[in-house]
Amino acid sequence: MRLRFVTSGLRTTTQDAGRPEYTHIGVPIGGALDKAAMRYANSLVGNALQTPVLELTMTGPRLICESAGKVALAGAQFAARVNNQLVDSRQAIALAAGDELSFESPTTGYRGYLAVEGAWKVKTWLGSASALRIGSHELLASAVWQAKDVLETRSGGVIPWPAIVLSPTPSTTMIRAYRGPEYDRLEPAAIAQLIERPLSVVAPSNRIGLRTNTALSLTPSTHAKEMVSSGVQPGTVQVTHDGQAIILLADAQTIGGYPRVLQCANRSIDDLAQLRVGDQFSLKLLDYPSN
Amino acid sequence: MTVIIRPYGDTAVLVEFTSDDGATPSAMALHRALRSEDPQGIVSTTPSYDSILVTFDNAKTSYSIVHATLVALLERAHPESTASERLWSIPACFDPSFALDCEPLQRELTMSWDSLVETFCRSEYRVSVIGFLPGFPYLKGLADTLRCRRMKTPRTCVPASSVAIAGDQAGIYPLDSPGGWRILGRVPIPLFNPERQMPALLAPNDRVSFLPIALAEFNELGRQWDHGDLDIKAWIS
Repeated sequence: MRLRFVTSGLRTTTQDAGRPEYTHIGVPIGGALDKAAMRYANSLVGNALQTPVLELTMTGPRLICESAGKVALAGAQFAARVNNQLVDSRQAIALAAGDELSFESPTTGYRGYLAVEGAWKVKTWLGSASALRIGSHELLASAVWQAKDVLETRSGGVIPWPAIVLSPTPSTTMIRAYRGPEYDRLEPAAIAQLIERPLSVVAPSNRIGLRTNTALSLTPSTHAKEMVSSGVQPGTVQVTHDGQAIILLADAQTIGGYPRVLQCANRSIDDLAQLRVGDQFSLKLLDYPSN
Repeated sequence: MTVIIRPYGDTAVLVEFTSDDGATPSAMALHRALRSEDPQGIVSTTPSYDSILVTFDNAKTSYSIVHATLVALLERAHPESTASERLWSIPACFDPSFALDCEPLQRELTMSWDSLVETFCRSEYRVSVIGFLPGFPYLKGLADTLRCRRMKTPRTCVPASSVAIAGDQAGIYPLDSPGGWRILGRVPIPLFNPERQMPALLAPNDRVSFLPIALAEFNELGRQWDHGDLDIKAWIS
């Protein structure tokens, strides 16, 4: 299948499972922020679940189909139009050559995932097709889509007995989290401010992390002694020196020196992809299973 | 040495080492053991100074299995097994045009530029961790007389390949990036090259010393690098 970009949208990138094997040299894990949506969209077109997808951000691209095939959308609810007619985007969309596919900005959620039938002919770097921006550097520039670019897949990526993936049921209002390694550096008052209280996402928030409208107090010993840098992961809730809780996402750096007070549950990490600046959510504390 | 293993969320384990001698070798030994044994379901391993973060896929393994695997590996992974270290002698140019903090450093450390550079190049450094940016080496071994404060307001852009110091550490910026470390000079080649199969030049536990070179030689080495004529293996002994 071939799709030509007429417009790129706000930021449309190729994303897959990322580069978890390179965190020891400081390369962020990266990949689709909402990996459940990536897998679901791929299942709808019959692709292997880790096939790359397009990650759409708030404003989707306009695409012309140059050679027929199926696409499917998951994640935030971007209404899809084919030749300007609304189509049911809860299932795979069959496109014929010449069809134009466009999207309306979602009313809820932030990032959409467009699976395209077939094996993707795209450049990879360190085993992944995912775009990665560090500061002003695009480390895989071809994974950031621009007007006039052409995305091409070849048949063969489709697997004969595709996995059936149930539609994810995101909950962006309640994010579940466990105690992080430095949970005990939160003062009791800070715990009360952070857990099961409405929090807002504030700017700047991006694929590196979500900032929150918090001013939390940490124990005096935290201020006396700088923490030795240690590993962080997507979903880690760090508290900066000025008391702001930041939830790290897939493009965050690999080690950090701020107290890691909470770690979001694996299933909640995908939901974080759908929060935009101004959205409210709360954190629910889970206990580790005793063993 | 004491080791603490504990959960860090529902798909990760944090292993922390307490020892008297800066425990990176233990974290690296465990990292290497995990890489070579490749236990089922391990997704990533991130060694740092005195800890290692291990993430796993909970559809393929579980906390208790990973915990048991780590305990078994720790018993076998001796710090000596990290002996594959390389010794680098990396040319670096300390010309004032690269040394953005030439003046403030002389003032803060009350030292002439020549003796500052000489002191810096006399030490041998060890890469304790790669992080902050892809390929950024945190170097231990800075002389006490060169300890300095970070900038109050970080620069918005430190040029790639800048050699920098802050606190009791040294480092080399792999990419143009914001940064608050004090800039001493520059190395003639990129520390991080996405085109290479292993893009980071340095690895944890590598030993590094700096060989001061003049601006003309710096430019010549840069030219050779651009033409693919520079054999950096000659910098390793």
